[in-house]
Amino acid sequence: MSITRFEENRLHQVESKWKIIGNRGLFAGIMAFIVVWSLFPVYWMANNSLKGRLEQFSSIPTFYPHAPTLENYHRLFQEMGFLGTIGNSAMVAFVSSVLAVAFGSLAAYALSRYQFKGKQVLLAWILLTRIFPPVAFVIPLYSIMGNVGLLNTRIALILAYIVFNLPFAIWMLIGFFSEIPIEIEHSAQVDGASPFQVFRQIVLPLVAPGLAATAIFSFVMSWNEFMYAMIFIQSPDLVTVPVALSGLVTEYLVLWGPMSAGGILSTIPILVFVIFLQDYLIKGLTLGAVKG
Amino acid sequence: MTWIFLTPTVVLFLLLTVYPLFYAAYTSFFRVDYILDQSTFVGIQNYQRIIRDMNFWNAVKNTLIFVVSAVLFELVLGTAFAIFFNKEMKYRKLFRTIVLIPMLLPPITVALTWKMMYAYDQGVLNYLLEVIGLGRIEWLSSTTWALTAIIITDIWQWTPFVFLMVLASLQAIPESLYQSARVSGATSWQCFRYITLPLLKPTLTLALLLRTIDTFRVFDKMYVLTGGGPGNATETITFYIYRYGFRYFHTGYAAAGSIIMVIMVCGVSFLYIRRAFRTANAK
Repeated sequence: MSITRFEENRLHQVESKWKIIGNRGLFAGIMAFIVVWSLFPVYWMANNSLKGRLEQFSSIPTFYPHAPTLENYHRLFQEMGFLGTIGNSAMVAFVSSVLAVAFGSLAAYALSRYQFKGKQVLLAWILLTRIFPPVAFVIPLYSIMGNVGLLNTRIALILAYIVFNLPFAIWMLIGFFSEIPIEIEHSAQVDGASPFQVFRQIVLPLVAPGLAATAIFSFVMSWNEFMYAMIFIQSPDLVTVPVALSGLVTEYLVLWGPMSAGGILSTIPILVFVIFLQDYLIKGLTLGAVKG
Repeated sequence: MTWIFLTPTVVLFLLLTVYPLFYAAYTSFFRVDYILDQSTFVGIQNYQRIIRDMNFWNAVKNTLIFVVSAVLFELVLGTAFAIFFNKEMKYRKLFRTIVLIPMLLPPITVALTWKMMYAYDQGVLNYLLEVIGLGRIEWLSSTTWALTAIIITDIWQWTPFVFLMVLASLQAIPESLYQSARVSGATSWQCFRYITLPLLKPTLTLALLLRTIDTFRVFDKMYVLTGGGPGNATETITFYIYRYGFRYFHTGYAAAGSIIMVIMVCGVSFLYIRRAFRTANAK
């Protein structure tokens, strides 16, 4: 009796050992699939950015550069003025995100602390601007910007990006403001500080990390934007990175090498930023509906 | 005192969202001629012409196919990835970052990379298909595959968005719920069906709506990958409006198209708008 139970136990152990190994194998397999699925296109771009022209067009693609070269990057900077393009993108994205956060934090503070006439309308409008398709704004804005002489200027893009980022910024910041205990502000008011002083000197420093996260989020959104940039800007010396990249691969001209090099460069600021604020990302993208 | 806080935002919204929308609605009743620099009032003619245009309905059809298939796959794959990641593992944060990477890249960069991989002769996808014994596919130049190719690209880029949302709400489900269910003899399928899924419902609904809104307006990927072609096999509503507005400069006609699109989007996202008003009232 005791022997059979012993054997039964052993059998059980052996079985579960196999099960564990099987599970681990399955787990590693799925994980490998997910990693390859997520990274392969990025790897492929990096790989091609380091290939020379001949290797680029070989009929059997090479999975790593056999003769690695920086000529694509060289061409991009020397012949195509890509440094200026990066500068345009960085400048437009930087100015628009700083302003979006400045205006957004003011509005978000009022929305999270005060009751006022038209508050519901404003909140609803903020969400509606997120829903409306950008093309519905691009057509009238193109005419309006044309009428006031702003077409083909950075100002037009900056204005468009501020508006396009404000709903995200306001919604993210309302979340950050509502996490601050209101008692702190009450005691400052008792000491005779004006609402604006309370905001500037007490509340803003407390939400500094939130402001930074929101600014980076807006920066990324502006950096990635394509449609406004393509329609508002015509001069080659004012174009942004996505527009310049899309011009490298057209019906008439296919420059995979420089395009790959530019593609890799276009991702660097994004990756650097986002790795620092992964946890805020979801809050912004869902307008604060999900806490990451 | 609140006006100090609100003025910049309200002024910007009035000038750059409210006014343009009225401007678009107004323009949609005119035929605008850029060469003669004049516009003629034509009533609802622009709307009538759009509704009778077969190309417009083709664009609507393509948009709907794109939205439904891309969003469906993104939800299923994103949820599956999230469930897979919702357990103790080594280097979890590193793996999570890797999964997130696609959605952080500029959409144009993503579209261009995939265009390179889809190339008929030198593309790596066709090479791999040939290696495993299948034939080459005309990914971007055949009417049967072009839309699918774009859908795959969108799924690749935006599955991480659903993944991130679902993972966040999975982590908020208390482990004790599963423990007590297991004590009462529930199988893992029952746990998923009767605990996980109902608790995920609000997140999945929100993900569904946000992805629907964003895929509905898709433009960049078509612009880079196929230019709306071959023929107009991958033309979406935004692309159709763009073509009339900025290639033929029929501004009135394009404005009418964009007003129709606004109405459609509001219809599609009706639930989201209702939620928006509810949260607005709660705040």
